[in-house]
Amino acid sequence: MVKLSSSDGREFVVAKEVACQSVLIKNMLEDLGEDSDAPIPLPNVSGPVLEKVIEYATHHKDDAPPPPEDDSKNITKSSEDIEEWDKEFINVDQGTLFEIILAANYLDMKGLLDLGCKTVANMIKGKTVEEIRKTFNIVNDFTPEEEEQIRKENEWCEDR
Amino acid sequence: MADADDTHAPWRPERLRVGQRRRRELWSVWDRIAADASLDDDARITQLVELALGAVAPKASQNAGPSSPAAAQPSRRTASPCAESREVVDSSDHEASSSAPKRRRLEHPAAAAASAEPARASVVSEGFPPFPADVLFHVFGMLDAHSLLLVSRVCRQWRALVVGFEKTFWRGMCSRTWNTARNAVLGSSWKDVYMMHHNLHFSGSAPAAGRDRYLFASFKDTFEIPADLASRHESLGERSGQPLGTLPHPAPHSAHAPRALDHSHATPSLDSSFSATPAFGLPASGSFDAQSLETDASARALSGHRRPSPPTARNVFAWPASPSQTYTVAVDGNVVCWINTATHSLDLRVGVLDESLPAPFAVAGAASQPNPPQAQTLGSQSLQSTPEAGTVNTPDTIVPKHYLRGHKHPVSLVLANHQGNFVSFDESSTIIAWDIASLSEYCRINPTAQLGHIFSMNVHKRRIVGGGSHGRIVVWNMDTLAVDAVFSIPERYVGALSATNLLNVAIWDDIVVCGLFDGTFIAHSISSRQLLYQFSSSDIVRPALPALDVGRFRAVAAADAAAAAAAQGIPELVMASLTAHSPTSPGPAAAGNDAHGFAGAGLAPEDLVRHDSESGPPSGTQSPLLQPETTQLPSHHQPQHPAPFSVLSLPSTPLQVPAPETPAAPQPQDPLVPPLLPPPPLPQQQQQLLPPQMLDMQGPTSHAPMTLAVNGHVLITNGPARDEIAVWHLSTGRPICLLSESAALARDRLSIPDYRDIKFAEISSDGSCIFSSVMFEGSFALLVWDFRARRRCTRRFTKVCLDDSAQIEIWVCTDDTTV
Repeated sequence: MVKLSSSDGREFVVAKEVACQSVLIKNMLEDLGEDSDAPIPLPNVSGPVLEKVIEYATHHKDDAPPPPEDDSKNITKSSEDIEEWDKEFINVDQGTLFEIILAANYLDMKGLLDLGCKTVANMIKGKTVEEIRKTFNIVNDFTPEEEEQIRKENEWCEDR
Repeated sequence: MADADDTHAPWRPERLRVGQRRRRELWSVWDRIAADASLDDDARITQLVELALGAVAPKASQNAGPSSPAAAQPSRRTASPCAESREVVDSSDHEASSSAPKRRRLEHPAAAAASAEPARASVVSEGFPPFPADVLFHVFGMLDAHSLLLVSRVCRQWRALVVGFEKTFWRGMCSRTWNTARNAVLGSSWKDVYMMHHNLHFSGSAPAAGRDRYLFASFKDTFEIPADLASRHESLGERSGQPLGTLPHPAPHSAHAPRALDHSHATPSLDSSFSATPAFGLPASGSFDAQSLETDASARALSGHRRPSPPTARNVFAWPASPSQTYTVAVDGNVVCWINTATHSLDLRVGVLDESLPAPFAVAGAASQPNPPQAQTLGSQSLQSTPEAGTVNTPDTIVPKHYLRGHKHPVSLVLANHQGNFVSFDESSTIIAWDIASLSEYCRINPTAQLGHIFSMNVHKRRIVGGGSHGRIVVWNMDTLAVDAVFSIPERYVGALSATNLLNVAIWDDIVVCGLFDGTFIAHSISSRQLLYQFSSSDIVRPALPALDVGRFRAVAAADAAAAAAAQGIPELVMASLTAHSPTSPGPAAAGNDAHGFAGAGLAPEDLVRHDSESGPPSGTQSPLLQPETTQLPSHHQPQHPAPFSVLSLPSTPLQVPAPETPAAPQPQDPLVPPLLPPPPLPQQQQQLLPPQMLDMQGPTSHAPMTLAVNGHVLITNGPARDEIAVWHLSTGRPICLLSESAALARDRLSIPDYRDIKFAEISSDGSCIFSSVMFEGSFALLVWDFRARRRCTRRFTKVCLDDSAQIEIWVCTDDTTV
């Protein structure tokens, strides 16, 4: 068992194979050695988020390890296919989704990061540029001229 | 060693704990510094670090003392700022290294605790807090093409990310959508390649603009399709203003052609000046994974301008001007190989298209004098005018440099595999593959036992496929001479095959397609031996055009010689007039012929094997011969829903109405099925507009299997009318669109064109164009559909003559960035 400590000081005890779905934790455990039972501090993950992350890791603990990323060409993938359980799991408010993604990124959990990013990608799809800005709290920082330029450049996407 | 591209570099604006507005300001300064060519790398990094330190200094001094020394000594460079500034950066960013986060926490508990701050705030506010760039990178990689283009319009940072990693995003999209692993289109980015493939698939359904995304041209002589980004290439600058078609010798009966060309050129040219603006260059697209860093893309963006393509030229295709000489000329790189069927020659002649470019074999001066050609007794006389030693090619004539000898009978056909081989067969059906580098015979196949008399042949990479009078299709491996697969055509066709009722074949990777004389096409997988799909060239339903203003259209049509003026006079003309030239409504007849359609013919959807050249052979190896039940053609007039079909050149806004009774065969694996179109009846009046020659053309075209070409994602055949080419989805056999010159001209608001009979059409090996020679009233013309999304280089079409004596006129299409 491994003890994890969230940013707000909560401690979670999880099975090692669950914790080790995080490459970060796995590496830390290797560094710390087996005998250390000091809690692993995860200063970037709050308690509620860590709870979600552990829920995910527990459900996926028996998954086959992800294929090695030797093929840099396959960085992109489709956001279409999401498992039913995952869909339910990630059906959270935007703030939580954001924190889960950052946590997955920080903890280096590829499956969870993919899931979160797919969900965000699906939120982008079908939106207009303005709607995307709203979703991401982004202020349009292009000048009108620049905007026109880009619109022209991307005309291809307009007419489909 | 730190550098500005390092995503993990803590001085990058997105890693700084500053407000959004401040961050945006920082990006703009960052952009300027990153693009400043006068700085060397060290100086640039120093400045960037100073920028970062300056940005956070006030806050840092409040939070923790240790950051002050770092801020006070910004001139300490490169490796050290990384360590120093870590103290002041947002520690919420992930760090792959195992120990760093922990250490950081120990040093700066305050900063660490603050990391959850933006996330908490987001619960209250509407949208997301700002994502770090590496997460955005991840998200963008999962978008479809449309969304990716949209996000690049959101803000500067997003745009920089999309532009900087253009290659990564679009290459991934190409490989997962089109199964394309190679970018063979000169000067084109992966984005262009994606769009080119998309254009090939969906040219017909451009609703918003009502403008088609392909360029059509019909020409008599030398012409060019200029690069549309020419203004950004100094070398191309002069050319950019030229009208599309340069027609030195406008031939009769082509009076409308130049207009068509000018109009096509009028598509707004895409200016690269945008990306050349330093502010838009990628600030410093970091690599989130050193392995995947697209260094050239980011370097290009970083340096603030599109790196011009290296000056190169590439031959896209060579094609005889006369439709009757189809497949007697093949080109591989700079080498052209041809046969002279008129003289029943036994030799293949080999020449070099551009003598200034290297050829894979020695082309010495006097030493290269071709040995006297062999010929059949009958034809020998005409071959005595072999060029003399030292003959220099006139610009328009290519002399044979070498002869390929080995055929004992007159050669009928020659093809190239674009991997260093020509493949030919002769009248005795002997197939010979030639090695171009050594100019020697590579292998020889005698297919008579299997094929009978050979009718047709196709090559792709190392595979040769032949179809013959026995009604079989045999696939050989030219390296091992092993038979990879044998397929039989349905029994009912076997006895009927003849020199006029041909069996045509085409091959691409794992897929073999055969075309039969009644317009039936059958596709098989080589590895699984399974039938993939079967369709008929009459499986096409033309959309009608509810909004057609026939009166106005006729006015244009009648204008004929004065069509230019007429077209200008009514610019608002709704050009939904394509069907005006089409034969009578194909409605019920076509529907009846659809019985052996795509997913029909008792073929369960799961029997459709998706083409995937990368995957291993599907399981279930069956007998090499087709199972009888899969080959049997169902009787006609079996009720089947006709496949929806979009005609390429239509502004399809009015056509997007979903058909209420369309079969909607679920094809979840193919998100890119063309929009379903209703098969409405043609308005009666439109038939009055048909050119007279076409009125009697009902039912399947007599050209049925003449055109049969595949290129990995589409398959082209003759269309239902004699002037049309039909484009099909190679993986599913579903119809995609029709190409016709008439339609293209109609789209461009020109008069109903002369009707040209398209017999053979081909797809260039890079998939960037479809072309065909046509004959009209005794003169030849080349039809080209150019599918490049952006014309990054000039595409030049030159008519050259092969062999002074033989006077075989061919078109050579060359992509050229040198001009």
